[in-house]
Amino acid sequence: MALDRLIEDYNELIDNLLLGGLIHLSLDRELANRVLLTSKKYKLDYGVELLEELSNLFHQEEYGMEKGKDEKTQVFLKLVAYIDYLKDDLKEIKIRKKLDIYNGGEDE
Amino acid sequence: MGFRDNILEEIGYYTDEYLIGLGNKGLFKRAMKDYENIEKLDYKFGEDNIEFAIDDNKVVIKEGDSSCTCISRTMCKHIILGKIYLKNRQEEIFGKEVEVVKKEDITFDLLDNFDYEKLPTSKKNIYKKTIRKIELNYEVEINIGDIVDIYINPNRIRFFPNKELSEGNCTCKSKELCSHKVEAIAFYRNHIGKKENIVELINYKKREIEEFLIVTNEIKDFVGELLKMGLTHFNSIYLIEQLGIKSRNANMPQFERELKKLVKNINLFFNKSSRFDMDIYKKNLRSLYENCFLLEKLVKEKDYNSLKELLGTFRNEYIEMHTNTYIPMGVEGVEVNNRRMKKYYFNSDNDIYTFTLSEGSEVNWTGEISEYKLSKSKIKLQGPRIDENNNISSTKETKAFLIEDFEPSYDTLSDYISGDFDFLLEKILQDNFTVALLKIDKWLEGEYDNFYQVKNIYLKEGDKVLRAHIKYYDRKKHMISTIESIEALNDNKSLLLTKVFIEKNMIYFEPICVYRKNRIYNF
Repeated sequence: MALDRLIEDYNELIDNLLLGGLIHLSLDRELANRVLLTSKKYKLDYGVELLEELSNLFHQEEYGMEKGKDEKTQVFLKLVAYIDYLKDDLKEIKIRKKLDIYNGGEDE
Repeated sequence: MGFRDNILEEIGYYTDEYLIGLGNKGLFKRAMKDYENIEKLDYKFGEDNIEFAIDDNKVVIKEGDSSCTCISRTMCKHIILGKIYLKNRQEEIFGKEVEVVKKEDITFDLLDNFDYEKLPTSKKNIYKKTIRKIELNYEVEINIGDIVDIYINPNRIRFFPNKELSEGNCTCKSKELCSHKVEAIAFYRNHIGKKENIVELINYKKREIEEFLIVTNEIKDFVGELLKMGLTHFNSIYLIEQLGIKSRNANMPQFERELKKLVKNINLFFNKSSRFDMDIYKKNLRSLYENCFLLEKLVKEKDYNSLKELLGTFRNEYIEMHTNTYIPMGVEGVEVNNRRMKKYYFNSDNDIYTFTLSEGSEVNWTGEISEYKLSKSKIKLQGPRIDENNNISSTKETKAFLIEDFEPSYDTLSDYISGDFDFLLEKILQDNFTVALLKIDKWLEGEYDNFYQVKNIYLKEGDKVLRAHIKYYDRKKHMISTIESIEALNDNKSLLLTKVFIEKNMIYFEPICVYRKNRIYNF
């Protein structure tokens, strides 16, 4: 499922950021852009909003507008939480699908 | 009023009980005997005292306070003798006599109108712990007569109607408001029906709150820094440890625990341990950060009850309880920090207590109780220490005695049922979580919900039916099939020892064991 892939990408991005620091967002542009685009495709509005906000904060910083650590931390941790919920949701969708198949429902 | 009037007023309270209360029965008897054998004592008045010469000793009786030059450091028979002399020779000494204060006029205003808020912080903690002891039905003896006489093993505390509470008499010989006196005040107030609710007592000082906010700000800054730099570039574990110490000093045990967990996680990462789990690390960071915001919100809303819950309690906040008998109810295998443990459940005075022991290790209590005997014998514990979740500490200071063998079963445990379904509902609505022993007249056939992975169970007690859910746990694989086999039986009257909690407005059970007529099902 493409949504699976997207969540994997999100996870990879988040893990990279956690390990390498938030600065990674500007370094890992390719992954960040991919995640952003796929999120837009799947209308994960909140995810898109958080990613854009995070990246804006960095751009502003690059142009010398120092933003508080607090803001970045908050947006980032919101993103982490959001992905967790998304993962749970996806798990539920998958179980439902499996049950549908098991109960003779349609296989999409 | 001068000294003479004041001391006369005090003499009005000098009943036998009062004078015994100043020392003890033996001292009083000896003083009485001496009094009967003397004809006259030499005395002289000072500015604010009266001085007696008794057996080469100088006894100075002041209003409220007295002293003697004999070797005794506390109350002695000479002082009591002086007081008996004053009481019986008023006419001769003062030229007039006061009436003895009538029993109905004796009041203990200072105890009745005691203000908890005026206690210093350390004493407040003792007062709060005593309230917890009261909740656990700690045994004390309280006699209210001419004085208030309270026995809290091993100390006897006495309060006098005309004296400050700190001037009460305690067997620890303290002349201050000692911890025993504070305990006694709490027990007295409970005895006369002025029960304090521990929740009402929470009132954080401005300084304490400022300290919470300073620590949370530092934690937030630190999390920000950690995220900015990234885990791989982080090299100041000592910073987190310092924050942990700060949290501890600010009385924020929950925060300290989370910081310790974080240190452990980061160390696992740097040691390249396979036990490092990114998801746990993420959760750890998030909950730490979110709790900081939650704390700020609760402070703003002055929701101190929730704040107390958020701050948590120190694990070592055990209170010492009186000697009691503990009846074994069941054992459960649990896993704490990757260590396999056994959790023993006991009943004592209709409350359920737990005791946790690592698998294979010996019981730490003084006395010869083997691990095997724990689940199969009635035991007497002397000075057990209990925390706020009713866990019994395994300290060596607790002495354990074996009373007799006890086989937990339907018949033997029937006397220890926690209550009916209504009681249970009331209790979980109040606390959200409880452990209970329930009597089940019949298990109605329930069904397994594949989607939510829960088993719906229907328990019948009389004409009431309770619907509850049991979650499927990997570590309790056989639980659901065992319950299904119990449901299938014709006569399935049983006792159920279970953890009960509410989640999303539904009642969940996590059964520990089921007792049927002649079988125990352990999960």
